Amino acid sequence: MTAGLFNATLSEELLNQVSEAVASASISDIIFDLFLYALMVGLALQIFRETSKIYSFMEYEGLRYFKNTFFFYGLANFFLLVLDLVFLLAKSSTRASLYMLAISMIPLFILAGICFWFAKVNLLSSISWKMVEGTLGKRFYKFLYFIFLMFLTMMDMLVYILISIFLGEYYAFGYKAFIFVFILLLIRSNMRSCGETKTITHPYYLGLILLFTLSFLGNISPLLEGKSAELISSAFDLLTLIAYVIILKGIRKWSRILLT
Amino acid sequence: MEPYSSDMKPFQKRSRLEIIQDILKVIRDSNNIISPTKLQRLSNLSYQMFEEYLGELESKGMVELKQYKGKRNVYSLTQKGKQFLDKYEDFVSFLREFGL
Repeated sequence: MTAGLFNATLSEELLNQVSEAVASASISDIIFDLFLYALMVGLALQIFRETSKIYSFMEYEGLRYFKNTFFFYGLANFFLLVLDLVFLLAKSSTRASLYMLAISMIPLFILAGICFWFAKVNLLSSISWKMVEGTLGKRFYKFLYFIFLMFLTMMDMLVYILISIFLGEYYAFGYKAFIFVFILLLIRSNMRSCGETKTITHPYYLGLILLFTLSFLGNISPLLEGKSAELISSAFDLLTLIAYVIILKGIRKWSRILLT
Repeated sequence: MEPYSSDMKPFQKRSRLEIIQDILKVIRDSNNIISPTKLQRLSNLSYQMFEEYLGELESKGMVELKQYKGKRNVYSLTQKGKQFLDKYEDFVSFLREFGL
């Protein structure tokens, strides 16, 4: 009976918190996010589909990671889209819709987080593949390398969270900037390993770099407050969208050339 | 026979893709029929590497091992292998444009 009472109090408290969160978000913001996530899902899955066609023909390992990146980005954005839909439903403030949001919010966030994590690992694998492909002969070593990158990306996230909790957002952003420079050096070594010495200024490459920057630098909106934070957050989403469009344009062009 | 991967710097290691291209080129330039020993020698690979690459190319359906005049084993390109070779330069440009 005590447990039942405890559960009832907890669920009541949870419902209150959820309804407060729902009340603080405007319908226009939710609909804008809904549109944005739907677009991102569509674009990411389109890139995945086109890259899969090229991969099935050339079967280059680096390209496999590249296509998987967009599959996971698509999936992550899909979970965020579902979360946004549930949020929109909860705007009606019926008890059932608030319950649905309370139950699904954390699992959807976790699923989206896992997919973003996998997307980042695949992105890192695809840009560093040329550098390591000669040394990773056996399938087992390739698997170990992937596990190593998973661990590295996980550690990166954990360190970022710990720094932002104990030292504050500005230090956390400094850490992200350091990691980003490290990744840029990795990209550079990858290019050098195949004899490329000139700087690549091609828009598709820059689109990929943009996606990298946004994935690893993270959203800096927590550093700011109020309207400017919202603005930064929207700019972040918009830039991600631009990166997707540039990459899709390039992939379409090359799938036409390679598959005809 | 022309040197393979001639645009490379001295001492630069060939990438996996370049090695595959070299193997396919050697087969194509030998009228699409070549013995395993000659193919290994002309593609500049150790026995172990050669076995590994040819195994991969066979499993991907780019080359096939067949009998020549019912006696010797020879390698030849499949349709997929020929298409790969035709599109190789384009594919390298594609990878370069994306920095992959």
